[in-house]
Amino acid sequence: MDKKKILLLLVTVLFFGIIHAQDDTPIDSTLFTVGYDFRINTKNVDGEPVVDSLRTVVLVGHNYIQTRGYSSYWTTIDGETHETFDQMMIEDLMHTPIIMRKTTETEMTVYEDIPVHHYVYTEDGTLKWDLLDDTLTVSGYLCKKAQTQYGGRTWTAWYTEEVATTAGPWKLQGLPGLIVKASDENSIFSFTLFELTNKKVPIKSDWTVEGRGDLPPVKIKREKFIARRNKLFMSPRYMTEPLYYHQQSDTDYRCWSLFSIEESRNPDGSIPLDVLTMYINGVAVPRKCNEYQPLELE
Amino acid sequence: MHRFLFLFMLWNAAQVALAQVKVSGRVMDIQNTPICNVIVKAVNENKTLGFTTTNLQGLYQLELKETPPNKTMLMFSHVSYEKDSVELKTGGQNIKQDMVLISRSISLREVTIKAKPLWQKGDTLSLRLAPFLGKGDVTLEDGLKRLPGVDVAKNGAISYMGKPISQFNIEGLDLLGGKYNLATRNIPADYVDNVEIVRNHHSRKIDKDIPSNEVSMNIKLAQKAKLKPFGQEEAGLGWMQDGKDELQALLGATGMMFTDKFQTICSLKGGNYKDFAHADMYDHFGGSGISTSASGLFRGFSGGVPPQGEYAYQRNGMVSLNAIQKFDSVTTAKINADYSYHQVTFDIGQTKTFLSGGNDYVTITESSSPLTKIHLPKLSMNLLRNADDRYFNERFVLKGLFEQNEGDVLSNRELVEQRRRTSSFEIANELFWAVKNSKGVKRNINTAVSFKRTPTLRLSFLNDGNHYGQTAQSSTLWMNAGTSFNIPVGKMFKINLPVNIYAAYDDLETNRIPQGDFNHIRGWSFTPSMSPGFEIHSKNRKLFFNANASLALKGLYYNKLDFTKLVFNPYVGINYTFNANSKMSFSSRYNTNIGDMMTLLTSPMQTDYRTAYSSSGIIGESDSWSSSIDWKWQLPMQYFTLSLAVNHSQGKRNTLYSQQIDGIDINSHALLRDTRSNSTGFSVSSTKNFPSIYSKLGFAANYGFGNSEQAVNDNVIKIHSYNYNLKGNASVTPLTWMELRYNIDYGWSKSKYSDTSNITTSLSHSGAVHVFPISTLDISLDYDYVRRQISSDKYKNMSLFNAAVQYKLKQLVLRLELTNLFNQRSYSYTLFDGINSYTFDYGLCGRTVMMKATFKL
Repeated sequence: MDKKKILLLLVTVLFFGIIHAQDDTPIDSTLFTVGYDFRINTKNVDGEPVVDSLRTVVLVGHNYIQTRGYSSYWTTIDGETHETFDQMMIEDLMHTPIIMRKTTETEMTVYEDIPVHHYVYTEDGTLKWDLLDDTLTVSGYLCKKAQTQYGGRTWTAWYTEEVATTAGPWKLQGLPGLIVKASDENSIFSFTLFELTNKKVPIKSDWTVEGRGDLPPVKIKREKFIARRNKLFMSPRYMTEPLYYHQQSDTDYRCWSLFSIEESRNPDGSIPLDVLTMYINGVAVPRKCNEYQPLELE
Repeated sequence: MHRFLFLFMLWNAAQVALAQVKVSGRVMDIQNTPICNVIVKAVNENKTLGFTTTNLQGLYQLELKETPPNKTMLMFSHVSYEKDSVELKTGGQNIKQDMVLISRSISLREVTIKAKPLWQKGDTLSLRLAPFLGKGDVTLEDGLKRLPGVDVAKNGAISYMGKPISQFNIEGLDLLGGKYNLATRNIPADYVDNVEIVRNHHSRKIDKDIPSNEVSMNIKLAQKAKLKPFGQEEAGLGWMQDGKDELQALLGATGMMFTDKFQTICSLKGGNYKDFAHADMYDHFGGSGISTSASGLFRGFSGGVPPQGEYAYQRNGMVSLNAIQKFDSVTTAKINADYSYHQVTFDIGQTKTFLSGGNDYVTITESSSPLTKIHLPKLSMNLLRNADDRYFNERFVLKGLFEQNEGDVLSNRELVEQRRRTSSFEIANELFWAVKNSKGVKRNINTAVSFKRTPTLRLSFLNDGNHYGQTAQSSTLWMNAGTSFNIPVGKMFKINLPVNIYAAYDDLETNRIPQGDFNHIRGWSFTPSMSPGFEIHSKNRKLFFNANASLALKGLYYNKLDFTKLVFNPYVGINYTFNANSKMSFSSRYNTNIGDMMTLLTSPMQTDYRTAYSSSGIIGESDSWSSSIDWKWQLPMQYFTLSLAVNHSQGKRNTLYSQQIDGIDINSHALLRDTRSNSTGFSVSSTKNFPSIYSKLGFAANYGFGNSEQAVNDNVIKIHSYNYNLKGNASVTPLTWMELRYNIDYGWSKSKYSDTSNITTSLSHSGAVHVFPISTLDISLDYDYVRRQISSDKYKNMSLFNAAVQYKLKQLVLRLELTNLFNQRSYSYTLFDGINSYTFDYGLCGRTVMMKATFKL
């Protein structure tokens, strides 16, 4: 499909493709919420070191623990802009997963995107942690050290027993206290707590957030998902031309822009492609990206 | 044997089985309801032996690999229940332990960690802008004013710890050069994430092993500024009481786009409200105008600038197109094209008192309303490759200057007409190439060529029915070519060998009408030079010492003049870096300046209606020795900066200008006599920020003294001068809905000659009160109070008040400005120039109201 067709499709969707959220009945409410800064040390197209960063939130409820993008969640819940619009965009562009698990079970359900589809898979979240004697005070909390292996990486976590929960960032959980800080052995990834609140907010079963599309996720095995994701994102061409892999796609894709296209029109009425962040099937596709660093190698 | 092994393994397995201990039980609340998600831990002397959690039925099962030692505690915790623990019963492999927990309201110690507003990496200081912003701040410039150590002058010039920045980058790219007002005054503050201040800045990365005192600034934009084009439109309408234009208007649109590879800022502005459009075109690194031999000789009719108040009636417009393309991480191509028009007029009365010999003075009183119209088109193109081991910079500039100037003067009740019209253009090209090999040997080649021409410059005067005037034309072609080698010898020593050739061809004609006094000078100035030197740094690179000895052969070959002189100018510099936050620099140089062809203009030239000027014909020579030492200290994490500086210079010239008073005609001519001068100065400045209360305090002081010589009617007079200046500023937020700003500036100066001494003092306060009834509404009142000395026992007090109401929405800022509320119409002050005094009385613009809207696009 050429660019003009994509643009035509964008306009069509703008007028008629009002995207609605799925069922958003709350299934639980939070006991507390934890915000984490997530940083990835990587390289840009020119090989220069850069840091990708975003924020995630862990909603700890009575029966469920849910992890998702920080700003997209709060904006949906109370309509307030807790983070900047940029952060919302970054969360989408970095395909921040939504991870759900029941507090009494170890199985996790993971909703994650690989352009241009939403996927869902389950996995056993049991991690075998080695509890170590080292201590560290982080943000006023006395923390203890623990290590585990997951996804082909060695993770070091600092947890505090002052907050009695097994929750933690991303898929790192299962310690006898809240994880305050975690990083891998190569210091590529790090999660650092930046906020802990007593907020009571609903946890919704809805896997999506408003505006990301209403197509159901594709069920997939975890191993297959990881392999597919890493193969696409780590291909050299993806860094400079992420859209290359999707331009030949058929016309069923739904596109959307977070910007007001009307304000960005060219004098001839066409829409400059560069001003748009493309959402295909509700999945954001970046114009370009930094070198992908897989959280899970296997 | 096998049997023995089997028995051994069986025994081992039995031991392991015996050692494993299972602890199980149920956790309930006092209503006997099971509690799930309770963390159950076995802890001995702070060491966690094992842990688990309870299921939906409140049941848990904990397996311990070894028999727990005595005093092992079983601890139960849940965020909604009080913690409890019990000592683990030992002695069996299956231990049963139930627990009842008492519920409690969740009382987590809430934590919110804000991103650090400031962090430091080497020489780079990164400041997150948002925590420093005040409620009323709109543009990037508003935000920069609040950063610790950063000062923004009225003309937009940015300095850090008193040092003007030498480069302004946006996302690492130098798009605008010195015209960075275009960015700082048009980029919304909330589109900027971080401001990076780079000390020890090198415009050429290849030189980064050499200490530098330069400072640069890099703006890191928010992601939303990088995703699509943005900009702002400004429109305003107002009225000025008794203005040259009563109706005041402004209109402007600025668009910009910043991607990783491409940046552009385009702006179109016009209006007659203050310097609305002109201000954006200010080039802080110079080089916007054109100064030719002719235009330098016959300057426009103007009268300086008062330090406070709006005094000029202006009409200005500009269009500016700037773009930069990044090809790879080190290569960029840039084009800047702009055109500006500036028309300015104001009213000024001047009383000049000249010493005419003995204790006699001549006083001249003039009043005028100089009017200047300037058209300034400019195009510059630049290709830059700036890598660690290779540097290439090619720059082409084409610019023009078209100027009309009227300076009619009412002198001693007679109206004298003065007119000036000139046009000039310049075409220039610069090339700099440098390379560094793996052994650290650097070499460079640089060339520059420029052609400047003023085809016609015409001055005309009409005084009491007499027409007279002056014409001039000039052309200058200058070329500079140089090469340099920088060779390391060992790890700590380097030898430098720069060689340079400068050549300029000048052609200058002046013609005084109707007298027919004619000068025509043409010829070459030629200076080959070399500056061998060396650099040494200590092993830990804290101490850096460099010195060079410049040897130049200055040659002037004009008309029949054949002048050649060998000039020797040594330089020595020492830098000591105590740590990343404390640095001391010392430099000392001897400098010789040889006059130029201007000294050969021996026929009189009419520079204004009453001044005819002629040069001595003697090639002037001045020698100066200057030294300075400064220390800069900062504690970034405490938001504190301190800098101290001392400088001293002394000089000698082979000529001394003597003023000759004849009626109201002032003439000066050179005496062939050595004259000496010296000056010494001390300065200190400090800033301190308190981000938690959005406050910034600043203090600066300087003191100086010196001696110089002047001559009146060929009699030499020795002048001693002393001065000091104290400045303070504070920006505080005592209440969340109120901001206060205050500046104070006190100056004292004394000049003394023979038995006469003059002392002048000046005091100015300015302040502002901002009140925010709601966060988006800013009501402000600011004032300037000035106390200026007019004569030895006469002072003039003046107050200027301005008010504004600003309403800030997400995309729109509405601002109502009331300038000069009490319609103050004049501003006076006096300056002493050794033996003469000058009193200025400026007419100020009347009361003005302006309603302005700024739309963010």
